[in-house]
Amino acid sequence: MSSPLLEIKGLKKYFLRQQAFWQKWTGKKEYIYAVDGVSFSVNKGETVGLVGESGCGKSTLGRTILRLYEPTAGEIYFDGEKINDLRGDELLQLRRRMQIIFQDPFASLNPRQTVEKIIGLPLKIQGMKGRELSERIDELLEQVGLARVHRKRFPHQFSGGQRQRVGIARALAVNPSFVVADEPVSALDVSIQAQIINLLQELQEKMGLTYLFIAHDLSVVSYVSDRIVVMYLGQVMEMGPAEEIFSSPQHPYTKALLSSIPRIGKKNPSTGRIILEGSVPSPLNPPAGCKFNTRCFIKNKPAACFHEPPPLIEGAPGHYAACHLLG
Amino acid sequence: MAELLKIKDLQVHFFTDYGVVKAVDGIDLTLQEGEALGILGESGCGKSMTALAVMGLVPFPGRITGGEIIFAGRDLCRLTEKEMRRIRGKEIAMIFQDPLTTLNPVLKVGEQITEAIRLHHEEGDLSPASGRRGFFRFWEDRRRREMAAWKKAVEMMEKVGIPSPELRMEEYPHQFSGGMRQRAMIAIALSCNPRLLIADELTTALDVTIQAQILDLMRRIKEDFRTSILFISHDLGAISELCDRAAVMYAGKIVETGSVQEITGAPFHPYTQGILASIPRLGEKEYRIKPIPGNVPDLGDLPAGCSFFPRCPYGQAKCKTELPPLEEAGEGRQVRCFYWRQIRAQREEEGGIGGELSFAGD
Ligand SMILES: Nc1ncnc2c1ncn2[C@@H]1O[C@H](COP(=O)(O)OP(=O)(O)OP(=O)(O)O)[C@@H](O)[C@H]1O
Ligand SMILES: Nc1ncnc2c1ncn2[C@@H]1O[C@H](COP(=O)(O)OP(=O)(O)OP(=O)(O)O)[C@@H](O)[C@H]1O
Ligand code: SF4
Ligand SMILES: [Mg+2]
Ligand SMILES: [Mg+2]
Repeated sequence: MSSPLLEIKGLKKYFLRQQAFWQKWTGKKEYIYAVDGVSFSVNKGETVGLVGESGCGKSTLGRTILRLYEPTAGEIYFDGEKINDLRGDELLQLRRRMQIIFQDPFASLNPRQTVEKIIGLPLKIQGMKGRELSERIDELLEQVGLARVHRKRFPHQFSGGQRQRVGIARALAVNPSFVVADEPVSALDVSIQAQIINLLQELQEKMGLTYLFIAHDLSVVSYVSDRIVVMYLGQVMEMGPAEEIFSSPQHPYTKALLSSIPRIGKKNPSTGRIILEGSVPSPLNPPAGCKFNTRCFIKNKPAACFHEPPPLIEGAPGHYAACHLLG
Repeated sequence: MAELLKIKDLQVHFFTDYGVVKAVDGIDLTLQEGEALGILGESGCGKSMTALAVMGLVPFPGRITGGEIIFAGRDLCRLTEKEMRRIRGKEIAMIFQDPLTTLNPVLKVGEQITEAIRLHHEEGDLSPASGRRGFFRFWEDRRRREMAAWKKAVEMMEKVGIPSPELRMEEYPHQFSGGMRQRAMIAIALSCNPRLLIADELTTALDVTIQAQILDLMRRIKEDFRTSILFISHDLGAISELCDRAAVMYAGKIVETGSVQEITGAPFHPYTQGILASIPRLGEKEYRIKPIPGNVPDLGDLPAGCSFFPRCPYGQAKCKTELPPLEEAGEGRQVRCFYWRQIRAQREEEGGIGGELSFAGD
């Protein structure tokens, strides 16, 4: 078993809700409980998949880990060192070891800069220049399957897949060891999606990268991940080895999520399918007790579901789930 | 079953400053009464433009430059704008890819559904005239019509599964979640009781759990109302769950049609095969995806022969210069590839034919 590269403990990130002026007067504050007490670890060289519905806090978690957001509470350890309070130069040093790839390659790339500038910027910040810089840019472009001729082009002159390659090259420029990939293939067509998934996996092997792979497409997540974390309303519902999550999901939410995936070539999908009712409640005032209780399809739930948050319990080695029925 | 819609050699071209973009380049499709047909294809391949052509709503600088769209015996391309408007209102309804073109953000959802109902029903069939004579009759009738439309709207919202519809009628679109908004759009589309419902990327922006709800709803609409559905999506999973048949588009052309089982279980066209090989299979960790190399060609500058040639593993010299025709490859089955017979033979040898291949963890 390799050691954890990243470990988070009880991580929370609340956003203060935008208030109207009279609310400021009355002094009433409302919080969005985007990430609400998440703990897990990511081992060196491993890919951990983070899944959950839109708004459950996946991106917020990824960004808080990278210190792009200030955590509200909890601890983040990177390579054994607590990084909650790093500032200035130390933070800059950290940034070269942790990087992020965004979902929308277009929005995340400056439209007025050439590819060369975009990829070169993080390198320049690290103090690289001249020949060395130029050679490194070429090397990076080659690594992500682009060519020298692309150096002088602008983002709009690329296809979606190529833009995502530029985004990957930019993230890898500083030789990070940990990469948060926030929906890196969600905006791409299937045939291009497959190219990017393969590229990310190749790069992982070559450079020994560790990924936190955020996605809402469960078949993609199951494909790339060693372990999977299932989130709902800012909390972990279930986590464990990828195969186990898919072959024997424990939490009702995970079961519903898996059962909702449209199956290619499956004839009578409606039989035996769990269709959840309603949608995710607002993270402004999440339900008390188990956060899933408003949509949970279990009949005759124990009363505890409505007033006591279920703890994450290790049912099988390394496989945790938070549900009162599993206690 | 009778043929409801038949598209023959449809062409939609955009005349831009930098040349002609062949968004739809010779499409042939048939949709039977009561059938759900899926149109699968990657971004920009012309799916929406095909649908908009059927609606008579191709945006400027685009134009239908050729072909026929026969709907219930009439060629829609030959109708006047006024006749077309009647068809759009009563017989064909479309749920647009961009929800903002359907839902007005400053009007209450209830008002919008009521409006759609009033537009699409003759004065008489919502509520019979009051029979009252004299001065107040006009107002009286009008109020009754409004009440009836409102009641019908509540009914529609209930049918598409919007909880506590009376309360929800008073809300604005931004107060609806993504899935609810989709339901409201379905309600508006169904309010005219159309014979053909076109749904453009209906479930694309939704979470899987909500997508499952909407697909379930669409399945019920298909069964209960016997509405024919043209379901446009780039998600093969969604298509294979809802549809009976599927048409695969690539660069403005149909490259393969067939039953959903044939398309997903034993595709003949190299592009369809490539798509299937690109999709990770749930729970089959050993299965390695195989991407299609390269990119989709530019529709303003298509290669001369087969548009898929630059990315095709089977391509020969002939493919580079000659356009393969859409050939019959079985009952209700068509393929646009010179070598589909060889590809089929090869698949048979490998024992992959007849839906034996299983995908996505069956
Ligand atoms: N900067 C912010 N300020 C205020 N609220 C925010 C901010 N960022 C996110 N939120 C809120 O926090 C919650 C979690 O958002 P987040 O973007 O992390 O979700 P997600 O799981 O990444 O969703 P998606 O799948 O849609 O990307 C949402 O309710 C969102 O509205
Ligand atoms: N105003 C326009 N001028 C020039 N070309 C256009 C215009 N509008 C659309 N096109 C072209 O028409 C082609 C087909 O567009 P269409 O919207 O039908 O694609 P689609 O298959 O629906 O894609 P998506 O999955 O992204 O919705 C595109 O390649 C696009 O570039
Ligand atoms: S016609 Fe040729 S290039 Fe086109 S799909 Fe068939 S083999 Fe490939
Ligand atoms: Mg996100
Ligand atoms: Mg479209």
